[in-house]
Amino acid sequence: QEPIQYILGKWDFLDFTLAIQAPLLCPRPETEELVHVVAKNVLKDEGGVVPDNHNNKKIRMLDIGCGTGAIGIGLATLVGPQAQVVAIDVEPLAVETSMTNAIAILGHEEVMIKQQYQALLCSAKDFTISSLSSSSLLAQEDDTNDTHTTQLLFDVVVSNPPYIPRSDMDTLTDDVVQYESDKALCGGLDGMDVIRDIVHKLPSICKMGGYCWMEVDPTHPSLLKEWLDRDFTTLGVSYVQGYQDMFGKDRFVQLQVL
Amino acid sequence: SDSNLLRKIMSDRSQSEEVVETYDEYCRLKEELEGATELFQEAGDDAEMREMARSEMKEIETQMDELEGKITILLLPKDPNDDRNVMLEIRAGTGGSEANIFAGDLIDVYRKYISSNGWKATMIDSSPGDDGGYKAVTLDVKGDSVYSKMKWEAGVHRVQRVPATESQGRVHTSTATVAIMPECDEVDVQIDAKDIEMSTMRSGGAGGQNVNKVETAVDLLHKPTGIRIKCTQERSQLKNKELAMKMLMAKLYDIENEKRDMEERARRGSQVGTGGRSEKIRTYNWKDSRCSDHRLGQNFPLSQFLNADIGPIIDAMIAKDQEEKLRSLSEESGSQ
Repeated sequence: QEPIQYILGKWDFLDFTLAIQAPLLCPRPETEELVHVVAKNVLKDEGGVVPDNHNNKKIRMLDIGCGTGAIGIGLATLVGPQAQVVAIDVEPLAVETSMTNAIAILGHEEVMIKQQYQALLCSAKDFTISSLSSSSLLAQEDDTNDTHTTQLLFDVVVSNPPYIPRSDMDTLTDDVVQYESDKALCGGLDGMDVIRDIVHKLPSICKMGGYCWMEVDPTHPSLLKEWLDRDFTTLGVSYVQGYQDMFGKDRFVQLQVL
Repeated sequence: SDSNLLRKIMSDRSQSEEVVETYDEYCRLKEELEGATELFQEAGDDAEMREMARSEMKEIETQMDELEGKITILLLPKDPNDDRNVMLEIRAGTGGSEANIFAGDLIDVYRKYISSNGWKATMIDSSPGDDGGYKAVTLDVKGDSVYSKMKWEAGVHRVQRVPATESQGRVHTSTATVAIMPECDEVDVQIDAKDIEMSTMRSGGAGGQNVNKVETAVDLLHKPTGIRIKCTQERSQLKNKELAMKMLMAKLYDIENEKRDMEERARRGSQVGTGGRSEKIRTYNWKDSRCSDHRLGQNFPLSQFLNADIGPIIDAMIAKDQEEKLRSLSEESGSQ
């Protein structure tokens, strides 16, 4: 009953293979869709989030709850060399594994020298831009008038946070609950604990007009829309739209920092 | 699809170039002919001169005839799909295990032919037969003008031989159907998402983080036509879906093409077959070591086919098709 991904220690995601071990979450097909949707949006320059790249500007992306690194690494492969990914997770194994995967998939030089991918041990709640400065992460080397902090702000935030409501946890089969970490699955009572943390965090870590994409429980898009439509002025975040996954479930949300 | 457009424009251009160059050559020869004719007339009583001029004229006229023929062929209506890559699908027909084995034999021959043309084949789906060969197998074939040649292999192939599984030495007849589907994209075929029903191991359940089933097989049903495509090749569900959609588009496009093609051939009174997918095009007889093409009405040595030396058979089909088109063209212009 042990998930085959754990037995093999690796599994395919998009066009590459990820090393994986318990209790990290095994990437699901829906998450592949998320990466595709985000990459397509980033590359199409919709809403002016991503500037034209003839001046070689970096596209800064934050993967919250990176796990094996699937989302951040997937985005880096699809968006290209201008992508610069920071990934955070509360599980030390996730930080370690996603870095190993990033080096294997993106390349040693790309990760260690060009800093295309960096993983940090940090929760969504505790993350700040200053945590980046102190880890000496390069942003852009060109001389703009922006302060260093502004340069570190993200263009895109992506997350597949733990989103299963507490009551649904009992419905899960053994191959999920007995192997994958509760922390990676359960999002509290309504499943939105970490999602709320992320929403509150967005204005301080994201550029104005920047987008946040999340994979969520199908009950969440309507809850989020209701919340954000009501409180966007105080929160500084608006609800843009929801997307369905290939199984017809309300699975993805797109938010924007005002 | 930009690269498709580029490919099409470049191929259109090189075709036009060929016509223009050939025509320029023709005009040049015409001038030479005028020169030689003048020479002939000015030669007067000089028999030697007259003879020289006359043989030159004859030579030029022969060359001009050849070029005329070439230009006419170049101007024949071209199959718009000729330049495209294809999906080659072989399905075992009647005959059980033996049909599966025969399907496997055919795919072996085609693989050799494909590689000898410098084309590239990738298997994208297969259902192996229990005793060997395939119940069904699909290859993706990429290269130069693949469709223009492979299209002549489409139809029902029939084999008469003692099967490997036959213990009493009796001859059986089995069939396999070859379908050649030109590559296409969203420009060629529009598929309404509402017409598609996709099911996987994940469908119907909660999905998302709640479920960790790694079965990535995708089953796609196109409701209006009833075409069902199952894709298990890739390890990623998303890729299986993309592949299944690609195959569905190819099939839908193929149906449209077949319809159009059959109408056109019927109008021409074509002898080169109806182009229908259920048309019996060839019989391979092991006892007589013979491969008969029913459209050409010709026999070829079986060994020739098995060695994948099918170029001559295909060229014969192309020549016959051109002949018919020429005849049809002259009938049309004659009746104007």
